[in-house]
Amino acid sequence: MLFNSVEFLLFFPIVTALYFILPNRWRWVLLLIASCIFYMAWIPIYVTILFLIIIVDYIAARKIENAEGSRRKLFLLVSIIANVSLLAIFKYYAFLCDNVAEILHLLHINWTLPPLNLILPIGLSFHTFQALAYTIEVYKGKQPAEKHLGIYALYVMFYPQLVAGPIERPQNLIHQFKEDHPFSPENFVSGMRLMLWGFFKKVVIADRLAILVNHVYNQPHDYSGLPLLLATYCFAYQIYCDFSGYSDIAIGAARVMGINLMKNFNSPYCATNIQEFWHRWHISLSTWFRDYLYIPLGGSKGGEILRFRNIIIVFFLSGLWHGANWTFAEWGLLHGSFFIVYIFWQRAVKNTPRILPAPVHRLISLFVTFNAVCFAWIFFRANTTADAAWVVGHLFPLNQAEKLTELGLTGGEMLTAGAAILILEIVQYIERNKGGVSFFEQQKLSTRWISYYTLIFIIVLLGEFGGQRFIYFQF
Amino acid sequence: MMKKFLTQALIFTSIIVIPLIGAELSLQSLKGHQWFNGYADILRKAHLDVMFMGNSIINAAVREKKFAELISEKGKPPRAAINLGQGYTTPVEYLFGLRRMVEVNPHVLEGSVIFMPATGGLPDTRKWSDNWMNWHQPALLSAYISYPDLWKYCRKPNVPLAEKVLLVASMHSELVSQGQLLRVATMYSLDEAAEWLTHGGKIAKKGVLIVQEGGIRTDEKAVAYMKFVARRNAADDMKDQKAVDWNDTVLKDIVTYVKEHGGKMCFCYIPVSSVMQEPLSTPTREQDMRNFEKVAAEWGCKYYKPDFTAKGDEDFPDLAHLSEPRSYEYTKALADAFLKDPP
Repeated sequence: MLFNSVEFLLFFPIVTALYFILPNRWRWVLLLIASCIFYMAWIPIYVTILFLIIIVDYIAARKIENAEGSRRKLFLLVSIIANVSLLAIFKYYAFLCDNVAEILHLLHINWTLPPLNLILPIGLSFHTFQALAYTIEVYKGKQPAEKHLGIYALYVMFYPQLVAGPIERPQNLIHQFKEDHPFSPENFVSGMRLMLWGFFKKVVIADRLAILVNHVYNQPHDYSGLPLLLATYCFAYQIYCDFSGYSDIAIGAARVMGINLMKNFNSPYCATNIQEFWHRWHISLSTWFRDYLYIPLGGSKGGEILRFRNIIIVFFLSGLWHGANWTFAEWGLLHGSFFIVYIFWQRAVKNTPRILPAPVHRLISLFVTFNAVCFAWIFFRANTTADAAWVVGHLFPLNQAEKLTELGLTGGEMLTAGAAILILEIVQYIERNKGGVSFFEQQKLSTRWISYYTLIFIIVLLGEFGGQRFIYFQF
Repeated sequence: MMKKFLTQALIFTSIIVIPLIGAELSLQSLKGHQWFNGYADILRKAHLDVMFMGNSIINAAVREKKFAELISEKGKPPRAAINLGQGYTTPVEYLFGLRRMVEVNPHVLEGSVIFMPATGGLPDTRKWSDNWMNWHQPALLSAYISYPDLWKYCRKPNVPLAEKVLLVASMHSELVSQGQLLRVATMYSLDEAAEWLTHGGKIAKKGVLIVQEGGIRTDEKAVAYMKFVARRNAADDMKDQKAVDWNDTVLKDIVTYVKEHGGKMCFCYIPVSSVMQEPLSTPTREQDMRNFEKVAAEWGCKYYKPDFTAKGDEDFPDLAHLSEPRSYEYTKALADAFLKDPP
């Protein structure tokens, strides 16, 4: 079920109302049923995959807790293999087939692996990673194995974050399902406000920019110069607003019910270096990779070469996590390379006195980081590596200005998107300067209400309601 | 705490709901004055001579007043013709619109001639299983659909829930049914603002709104956009072409309905640009056209092919609609054909 659908417009108030009507001991049942309905709106039968992985991880975690020595590792391995196998079969098998066929073709062998023709279950990468976080934390002894199968199932299936995160940790979420959450006006207002802000990002900015981005990136060979540059910058905001909009709606929907989910984005485009960017972008995934891959690989210990190897492995796999396509892997590798370049750069300028005033230095750093991130987005968005290469090779000179008006958006739509991005950046700037306190909370009641009404009217009048899916659903 | 919250929630909601109720009531007072409904009121006691019905292409091609003038006989009362062609409409909407006219005046179709377009030689091919409305203009269906038909629509498996909810809401709220117009008008104002900003405070040429003017925009940007749409639609039309069973189309039901109520159903060939003609020039479509000519005769309908040839794509400024000067020539040719062989 899409957050930006009529179905959700009916689903959310009904589930929330029932949640507060029911006594606490039955709420997990309601949320579990609601989560199943939410998930089954897509391909109903795929809910059995979720059930299967829930049961495997539930048993594995119980066994890990009760076992000792190498048997603990064995059960952890069972859980990891079960989750990774699911990903491998549904997400990467077709990719593997293509690549094997390609390699064999080069060797003049005409053979392919038998195709499975499976449709990728929605949000598979999210809930398998969340399930893995649970068994790993149990293995580490940081989280007791959950005895209540229903509560554990809810941890994996909790509908607001089921298909596109944030990828929660068991320590943050499981105990919240057991606690009583009476209706709280503060939580209600703050949750609804986040949802409103998320919808604004999704339907006013992301879905509108998607028209232009798809127009250009689906036929990049028709363009060069300015249209490619504009589409790339637009994609940077499209993906940010699409994904952070989803996270805002998810966090808001959970908060209305008194459940706190982790922050997933923190103004990533104000980062002044690539390391900071990854502290601000998809926080739940980057911390997952840090805790469960980078650190176990050795992290920054064991010398420079190993550290760089670990960085490259993490970013390469992070890229592939997004999708079974070389373009995603290239995107990951680019970010890994940026990270290593940044480490060298930091070392080089460490003892160098700063010539430029701090604000100018910050502005230049921000500009460089943003453009590096946008450059990598080219590979993320392009349908093929060849398309990405075309875009990179034809960004300059900045010609084809006359085509800017023929990219699928009217002047009014471009004006709307531009103004909405400006509003977004102003709000984020104010929030950053006030230590992350919500922009709306900083305002007096009348200004706050005017802001809400304005947002509602902007969404209704200028929102794009073509039923566009969230980009991260496919991951 | 709770009391304060509830009071604030009530005030917050009232501030938004009260103006909306006001707007709804104002729109309700204007209800029923557009498209078929508008003419239904006019024709409550009057007689209808000729009605053109269909998409924006027939709206642009036929100058109904000129047509009425040309077919009026000297010494007799002038004939009346109306043109209800409108962009992004569906045959189900036409049928329901006709039903509404008949509800208002049961004799309205008696002796009347109803024209529908054969755009580029191919009339409307849609079936009942296809979509009944364009979701950007629900008012064109919600204003005419009956509750039994609404039930049928809601049971259609290929229609998204959002559209079903929209249609039901549109039937009960003018604000919902006309909401898209407000969205179009807002975006149009923003288009002008963008033009004003990028052209040093000038707006080159004022256009007209899509829906209000029957789907035809005349400003430069809209024409460019329509060319893009025409090319895209033509490319889409080339895919998966299947032979049409004309007796399975909504058109067949329209013909039956018109005939049952004493009307005469006719079709008129309307030329289209080369871009739009391309997907109609496939063997499948050409066979469909030949089949239609036979079927139209079986249905007892005249199919007029006026003596009018488009000079080229320059006759279609947006690659879809006939230009205004040429539309007068087309209208004259159609009137000549009509007078030569009346239905």
